[in-house]
Amino acid sequence: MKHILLFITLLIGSFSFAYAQEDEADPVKREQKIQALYVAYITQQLNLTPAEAEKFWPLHKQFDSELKSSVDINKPELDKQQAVLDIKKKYQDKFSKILGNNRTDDFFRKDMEFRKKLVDRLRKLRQQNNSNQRPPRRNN
Amino acid sequence: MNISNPIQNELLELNSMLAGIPNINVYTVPDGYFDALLNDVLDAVTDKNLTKVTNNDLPAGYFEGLADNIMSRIKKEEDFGISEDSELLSFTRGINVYSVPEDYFNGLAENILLRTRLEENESSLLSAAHGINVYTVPMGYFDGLPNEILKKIPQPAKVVEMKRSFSVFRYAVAAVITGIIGLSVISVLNKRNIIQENLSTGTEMSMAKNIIKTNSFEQVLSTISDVDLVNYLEKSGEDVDAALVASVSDDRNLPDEVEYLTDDKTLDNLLNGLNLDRSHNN
Repeated sequence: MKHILLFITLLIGSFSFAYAQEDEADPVKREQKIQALYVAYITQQLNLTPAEAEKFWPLHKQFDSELKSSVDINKPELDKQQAVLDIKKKYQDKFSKILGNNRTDDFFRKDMEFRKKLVDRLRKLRQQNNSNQRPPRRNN
Repeated sequence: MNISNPIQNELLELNSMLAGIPNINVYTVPDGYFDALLNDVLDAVTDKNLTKVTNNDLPAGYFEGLADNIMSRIKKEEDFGISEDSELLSFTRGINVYSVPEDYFNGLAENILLRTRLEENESSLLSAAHGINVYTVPMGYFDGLPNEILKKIPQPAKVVEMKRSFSVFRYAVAAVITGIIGLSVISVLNKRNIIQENLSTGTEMSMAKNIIKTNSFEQVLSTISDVDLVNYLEKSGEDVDAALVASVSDDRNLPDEVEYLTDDKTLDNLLNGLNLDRSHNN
């Protein structure tokens, strides 16, 4: 009886574990796509060589995770912006060692441009959706 | 059938004449008795010549009152004790024929004691034996008796106290084992996470290389849904609504100045088109 119970517990445990793994698959994949777009965009815009890319992207990953972990919606707006700025300044020197000052500057600019592209894309999508849903205007 | 020897021997000792009688079955059955038995019985049963007791031979209502009849007869006999016909004995009904001499019970106890003493005194044999203790006890019996008794009592088993286990130690061991298991699970999960992260980074890199190679940035961008875009931007701390409104100013398709004058709702329609998140209203 004891053994049966143990076996059942392990079975259920393993299922839940597997289930947890399953759940992540799709949204993660979609996020990966956007991240891949970002990598492609930055690589192209900065003309990163393979050697530079090998050093740059691991450092960028650290930079990215620090930025994400600093996201706190309860903070006042300026504090939020200051926190982001502090992290960017912190990594500016590190990026400069790989890319040089000018290209580091470029990087921060291209980073913002990429986000702008995403926002533009989002805006167009929403406008499109609205125009598909909205009934035709009546001219009075 | 041979009688077993011990029994035969015993019988010889008891009565040699009996033992001499051979063990023969002296009873006989007529020849062919059993062969014809079945048919004889059946014939007898079905024999119409045999007198049958019919209900006509019995007086009417015989069985109905039979039980009561029997009970009343029994009761009568109980009451009288003897047959009604006996005149001799009838006068003895209910008379106690036994008698006790006068003052019998009054002096009974003393009588008995007297008689006992008399008999004791009369019996010379007994008087000789009077007061003599005929029982003997072996020499030194009582001297060694306590020891003998004690020897016979079984020794109680030696009590070896079990070492009381120090329960805190057990709990400590359990905690350590749980800790080890927990740490190993965490480290395995961490390793898994790291492997997954590395895998995902690898995936992203290879996807990026593919995008660069095929120059399909815009194409891939067009396949991403608005929900995923919002999630990505919010994760990196972007205020999506503010960014959306800001992005409108760059849009070449802004309404004309005239439209703002002719239609009050121009601005509303423009902002509605952005599907801003209304829950941000303060």
